[in-house]
Amino acid sequence: MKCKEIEKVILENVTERTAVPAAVQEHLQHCSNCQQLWRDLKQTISLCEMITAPGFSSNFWSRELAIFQKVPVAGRRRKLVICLSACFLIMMITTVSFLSWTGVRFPFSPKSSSYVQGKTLLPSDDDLLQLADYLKEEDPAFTLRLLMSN
Amino acid sequence: MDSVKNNRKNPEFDVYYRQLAPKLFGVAFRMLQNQSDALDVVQECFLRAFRSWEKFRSRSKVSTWLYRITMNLCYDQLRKRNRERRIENADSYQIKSDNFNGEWNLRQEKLVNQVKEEMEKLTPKQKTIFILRLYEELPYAEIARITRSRVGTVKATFFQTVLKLRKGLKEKGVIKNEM
Repeated sequence: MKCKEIEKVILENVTERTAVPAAVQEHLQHCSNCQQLWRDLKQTISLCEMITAPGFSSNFWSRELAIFQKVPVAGRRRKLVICLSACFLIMMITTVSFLSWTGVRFPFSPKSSSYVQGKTLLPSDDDLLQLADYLKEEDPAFTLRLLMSN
Repeated sequence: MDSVKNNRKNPEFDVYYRQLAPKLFGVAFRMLQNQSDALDVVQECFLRAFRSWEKFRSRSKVSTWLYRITMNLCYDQLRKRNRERRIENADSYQIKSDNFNGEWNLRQEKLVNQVKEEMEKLTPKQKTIFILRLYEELPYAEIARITRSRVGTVKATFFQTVLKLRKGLKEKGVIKNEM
């Protein structure tokens, strides 16, 4: 066998616990390079085998299994919360749409806080003050005129 | 514990969990070199498996499927770590011996750190194949299924990895020529 072939066999056998084939052993007795390679690889593997992972902590199983116990419950609870939130949102949107369709105006609704003087619908003083506060920053001159006229 | 055992949806889950969790932890730990990250990976792996247990079509073994999930999670973790450039400490590494004294202990620790440094230089794929072959003693065909590559590729990668480690350890003087 040639050294290249031996190298392949050595690599295939390096992690096995079994002995190398007789033909390889015979070659190893005569070829110092392959012998060195065999020794090096064996040493490399045994050095790597020295490293081992730590064991689980004693509370690992209980912690892990407790998490799995919660999985389906948590999933169901989350779905319930999402459903309830969606229902609430839909109801809110429907209510607001219905009210705006029927003509209810926010926040300065004349129906709620104004009074009727003769046949003209006039805003109350409170409404005007609120409006003035609102417009104060937007158009101060308009606000002033509005207050003066009332 | 009982609730998992009595879970009507997947009664085998508990069995697989007890059987494979320590192995998957070992793989994750060797990949990530951090105990808490490895525990997180195992936990996430089983959570994912638990959620998709019904979808699993038994085309491969459950262990292969779980190994693959673990490997993917480890890759994600490594990518995240690369982004964060977090430096890991090697304090949780253990030496496979119980009866060592001071000087011997120090020498072994130094040796282990040198081997660990060399293992860190491997690519994630090389590391995966090396760990699954050396520590888990999985056959090449199984590793090929886990890594979704060909058996020949897996073998070649493993050989390259061993030779790379040998070269690195030789350069460090850990392996010496004996003539």
